[in-house]
Amino acid sequence: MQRFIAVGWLIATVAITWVLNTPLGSVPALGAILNPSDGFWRNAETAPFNRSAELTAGVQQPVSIVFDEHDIPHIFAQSNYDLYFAQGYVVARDRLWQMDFSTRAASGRLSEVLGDRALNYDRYQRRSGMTDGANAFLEAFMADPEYSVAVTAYADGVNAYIRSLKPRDYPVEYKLLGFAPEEWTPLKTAFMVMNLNRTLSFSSSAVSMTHTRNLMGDAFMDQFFPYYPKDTDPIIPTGTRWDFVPLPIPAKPELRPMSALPSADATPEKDHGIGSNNWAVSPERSASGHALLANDPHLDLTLPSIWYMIQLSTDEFSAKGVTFPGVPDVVLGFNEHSAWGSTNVGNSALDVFALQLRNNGTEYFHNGDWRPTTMKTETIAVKGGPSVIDTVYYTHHGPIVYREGEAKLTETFEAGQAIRWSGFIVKHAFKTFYLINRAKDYEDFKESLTYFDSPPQNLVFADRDGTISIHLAGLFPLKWKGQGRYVSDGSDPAYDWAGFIPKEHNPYTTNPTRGWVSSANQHSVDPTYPYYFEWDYAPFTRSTMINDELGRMSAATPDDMRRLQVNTRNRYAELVLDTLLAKVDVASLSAAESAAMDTLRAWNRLNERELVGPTIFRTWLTALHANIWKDAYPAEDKRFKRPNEANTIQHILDEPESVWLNGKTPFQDRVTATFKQSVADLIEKHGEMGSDWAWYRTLNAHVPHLLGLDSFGSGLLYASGDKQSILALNGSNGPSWRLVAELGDTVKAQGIFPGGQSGNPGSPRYMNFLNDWVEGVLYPLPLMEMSAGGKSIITIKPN
Amino acid sequence: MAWIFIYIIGMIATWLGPWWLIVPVSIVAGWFFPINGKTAFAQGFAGVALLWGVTTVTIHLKNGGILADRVAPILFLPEGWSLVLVTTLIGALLGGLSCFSGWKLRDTFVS
Repeated sequence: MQRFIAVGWLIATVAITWVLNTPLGSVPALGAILNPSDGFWRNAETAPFNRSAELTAGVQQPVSIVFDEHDIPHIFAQSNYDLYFAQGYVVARDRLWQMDFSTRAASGRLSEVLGDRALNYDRYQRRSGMTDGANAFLEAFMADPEYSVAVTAYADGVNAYIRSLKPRDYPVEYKLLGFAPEEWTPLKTAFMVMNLNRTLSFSSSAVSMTHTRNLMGDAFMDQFFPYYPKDTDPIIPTGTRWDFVPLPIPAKPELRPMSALPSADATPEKDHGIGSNNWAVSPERSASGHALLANDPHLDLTLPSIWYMIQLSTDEFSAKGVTFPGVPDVVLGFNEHSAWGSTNVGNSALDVFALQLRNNGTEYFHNGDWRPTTMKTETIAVKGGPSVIDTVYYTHHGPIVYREGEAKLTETFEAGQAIRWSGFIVKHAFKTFYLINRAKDYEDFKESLTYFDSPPQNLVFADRDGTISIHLAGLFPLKWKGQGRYVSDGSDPAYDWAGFIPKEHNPYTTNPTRGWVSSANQHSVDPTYPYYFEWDYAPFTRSTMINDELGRMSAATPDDMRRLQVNTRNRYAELVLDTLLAKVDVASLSAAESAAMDTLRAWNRLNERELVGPTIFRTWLTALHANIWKDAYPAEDKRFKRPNEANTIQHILDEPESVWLNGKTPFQDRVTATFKQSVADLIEKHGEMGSDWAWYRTLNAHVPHLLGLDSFGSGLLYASGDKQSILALNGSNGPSWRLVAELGDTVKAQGIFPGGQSGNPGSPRYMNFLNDWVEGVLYPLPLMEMSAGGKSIITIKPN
Repeated sequence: MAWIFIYIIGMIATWLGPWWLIVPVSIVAGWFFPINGKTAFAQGFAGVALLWGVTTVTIHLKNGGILADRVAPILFLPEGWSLVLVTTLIGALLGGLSCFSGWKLRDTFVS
């Protein structure tokens, strides 16, 4: 008996150890996570910053990686292979988990590490055709002799780093989630690019537009969802001559009754979340006589940050700026001769096709015939459960996202709809950045754009010769006017994409007479451009203010550029606030409401963090906008798209007596009632008017961790801005990178991103740039010479 | 003496191998050193408490608490120091249990 008891104690000890080392369902392995020799404690950086190391790896000649005080690696290599090997190595060193997790997300493989809670996410990724798209993209770029070397070397570098790790060295997120890094491949790079394109352009309002048109009719749609809104200041200045003979425009079909299209449950309105600014100023308008360039792309901000600062140098070139972890080259930045930046082209790169399906989705009707769908099976591995086999149905348009009777995978598309997205047919794309990194002048830059076959971007350029330019690069489908604005009839060939606008016809402007170029996701061209160029762009706010400010600068300095990037003018308030204030029935206001009114009157129309004015105005405008359209639309029905605030404000100014504003309630009463309601709401939320009403609380600027772990995120930031300000910050969306460059004898650049170089939450460099980013500080980013050396150098020697 | 053995050999073993080597090390210590079950548990508890406690306190201080303060809320703890305490306690209890098991085995099978 004693022996049984003794052995029992031993068994209990082993069993408890096993439990502590093994994750059970959603309960993590506490022993494995907490123990100080292998667990999370190992990820706490304990020594002062010093990266110095010598290692041997698969490079051909020695490579030096010099770190500066911001922890930016400067890679000096003697061949392209070595350069990209070192880039892969050093980026993985700081961002391995982020790269791994992002590609798993892009390829629909999250269930493999998160379990079945990620299953619908994975299914949506795969049903959107990501696997097929990434494989085709991979095949195309691996056939490119130059770019394939870059991608392969990059993968070798990442893998050299992964192989140097013991489990205790894995980034902390691996330990918390209980999985391990896997080998990096060029396919993962393809998925990273696909996913970036997806973030930028995989969206459509066609479904909600169709429902809205059915409800409101064509006249309403043309008035409130205009093809070319009043006050538009297009990217390519009005009056630019088009020096080409356009291709014939495809014939517009007879529009079918919309009732033929499937109806739906809820599809919410989408807000313009992705916006960005870039501009360049000519030498004539700059104080130094050198061209200036600025860029701040707005994205959903995350920690680790989407960007990583780096310099790449060989005998051939030297480029510096931000790279996208998982992808070779500097994506946005500058080199010895020029600087460049990007904003998203605001229009749609995706059309939605309603299909007639039969035989369980194996056939669809097109051009009078039943055509077979192509079925491809996908296996989704699921942690802690059996794998799920899923079938993706492809039509010649593109994949069917989900069919009638299946789980609703997204609010953007309805059952039985196929999508055609230009992101599916990308072949080179990032070869463009490979070439821009090496560009010596404007001609090289233009040449590199011929490879840009992605959903489109507004690429701005400036060089030491004083050239400034903005090009709309990428694929633009050749369409009849209005094609794709509503759900397309997938059975009618007139809705098929008839090809693309020839790249040489893509709009651009170089050294325009006004002396600057700019873009802020607004309309690309005025209506004289011979091709149909979509309609759903960012409102006029940021673009008109940027052009207004730039137009007033006759001797611009880099600091003017920096200050313009953090400009907080509220264009809506400038336009409409006085009109609204004049309509409020002042006699009916309580003391608290009068005080709020006085605050608004005295407000300087800037979205500054400490002010109360922007909080009252934003709350009021939101309430008024909802109030105006609630009479015209069925209550709470989110299928329909309301006219946006910009077009509503325009309408208030132009037609104050309109039936839409005065229908059931006179406009004046709406204005007073919503003002009172807003003050009441604010009092309920924040108490009496005071410092708790400060704008930054409503703005809610913060940078969350990729997994949404609160304590790994930034928390609330004391920040200024607004989604319609040039400083376009709103919640967790905002300027993901800022660059200001002066193109003198040497290129003087400054930049910052909201985060830090390290992806490790246990590092002091995880979000050490964040405060400076909030305060509008830029770091000088000189191109480093090899001879400059540094405190902290990694040397990679050949095996 | 068991606690010193656990502290030193445990530190070396878990430096070279996985963290759970602290368990066999404590069992071995329990087999050779203690005079009764109570001291076995106490020595194992003290040995691992010292090893894990010193390590986590050192890391926590040198790191300025950055990481532990961020991890603690994920494990429903208020802040980094409580994570030092919980880590140390879990290690100590495991060490005590292991050391006691070692003592119990020898007490039963050898003496």
